[in-house]
Amino acid sequence: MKREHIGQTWPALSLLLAILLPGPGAALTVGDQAPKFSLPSVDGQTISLGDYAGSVVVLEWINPNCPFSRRHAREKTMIYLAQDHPDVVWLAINSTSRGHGDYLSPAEHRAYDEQMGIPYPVLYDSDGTVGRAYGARTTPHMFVIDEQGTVIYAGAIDDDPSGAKPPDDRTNYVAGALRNHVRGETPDPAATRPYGCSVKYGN
Amino acid sequence: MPVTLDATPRRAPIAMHRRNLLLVVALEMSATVAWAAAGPWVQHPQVRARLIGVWNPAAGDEGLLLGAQFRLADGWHAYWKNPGDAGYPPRFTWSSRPALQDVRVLWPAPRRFLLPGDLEALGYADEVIYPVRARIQDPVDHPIEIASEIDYLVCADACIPYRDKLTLEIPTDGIEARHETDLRRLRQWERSVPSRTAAGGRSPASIRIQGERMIVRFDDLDAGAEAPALFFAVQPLFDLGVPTPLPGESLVYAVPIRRTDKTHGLPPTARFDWTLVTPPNAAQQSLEGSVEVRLKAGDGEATR
Repeated sequence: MKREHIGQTWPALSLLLAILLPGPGAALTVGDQAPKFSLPSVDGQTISLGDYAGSVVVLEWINPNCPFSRRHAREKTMIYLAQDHPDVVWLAINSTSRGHGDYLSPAEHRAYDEQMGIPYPVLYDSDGTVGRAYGARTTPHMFVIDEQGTVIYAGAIDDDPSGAKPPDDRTNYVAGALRNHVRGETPDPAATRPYGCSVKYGN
Repeated sequence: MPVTLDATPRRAPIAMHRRNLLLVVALEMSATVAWAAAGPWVQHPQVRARLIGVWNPAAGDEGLLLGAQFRLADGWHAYWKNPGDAGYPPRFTWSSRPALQDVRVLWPAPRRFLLPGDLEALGYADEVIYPVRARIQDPVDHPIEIASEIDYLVCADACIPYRDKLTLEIPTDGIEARHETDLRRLRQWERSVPSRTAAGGRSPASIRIQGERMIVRFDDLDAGAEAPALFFAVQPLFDLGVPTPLPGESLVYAVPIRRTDKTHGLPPTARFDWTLVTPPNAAQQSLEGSVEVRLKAGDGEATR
């Protein structure tokens, strides 16, 4: 293994890079302010993040046609967690493009939500603007936002991508982040690698 | 007891187990033989999977070579050790008689699949054989029975997770030659595993982080006409974007880099495990290695 010290090498590359290489995009880092949004729900209401200023908000990227979203809905992973934290606002966001085969119409989505017993609002982000702003990559991909609007956790729901572990043996990162936050502690881990299907953005 | 034969294999009765044809194949350029087998395929609409393997008792610790073979339907891919923005790599749980020791799954050189939304997947299309090196204790006087429970994901436009139990029985006697093609493919995939530069001397890579960009330079390599593709293993402190070769530079790449979390401090250093994949038939073999980079405040953060 080689240790490379930051030095004064390649000075010309800095200027070249500034011209040639795009930045890493608008995706955020834990500790950033959460991008604001207003999105339509499957029930036809408009819901804004700003409506919940002063509350802890959990965002869950969802796609009912993704096996990972379906498994967690079937196992009620998020539903039980939301019920355990009634003071936390839970919003699901579906960024599937309208042209993608996984896209569900509002009626289809409502039927799925009802079948799975999803009690919280599900929002449409069909053009992917909000998903891209958050850097949502997978379904599910979770974000926890504190009362001041700062992202305090981003990543996977738990440590079991394949669902091989019994639910009680899994480490639920979102539950841990909420627990830390209630105690006044910084979530640790605050960032994990999300798993699941890729978010079905349009081109 | 294992049997060592001369260079001319002799015919002997074959034991049949399930759909396996058990076999003994003369190793290339070797006076010894290796026993080999292919397990039954597990079939799904998008993928079929099986274990293949060869055991050469004369080769000592390098004597056992297994392969988890996946054949994918058109448009589907399986994953590398870093799956990219979504998915996950296959996870293997091994059981065997006699017990396997020091099991090492090897990761052949991956491809990059660009997905809508500036996402990427890293893995394999059409076919992949993940080579697996392991040891068994000598002597072995009965067939080697191996099973692997594999959690894996295949994706196209959709993703399907599977959990399959693959089995393999490698005989310790008998002769058959029908699986030479499978073994050749297994060895080809093993050769496509990037070699560790540490074994050959100094690492050719150096890395410098400048705010939200990382510059990776390779020295002392034969670049060839086509720029090799650069990949990284998962780096928990940073999200890394798609490496871009810098025009006019030989083997210099720019990589978007962003901290995953700025609510915790950075450690003094971070290790970046890189893989440089050369085109087929290139003079330079694919390589992998590690660079430990000293970090400073602001690394991986926007400089605007």
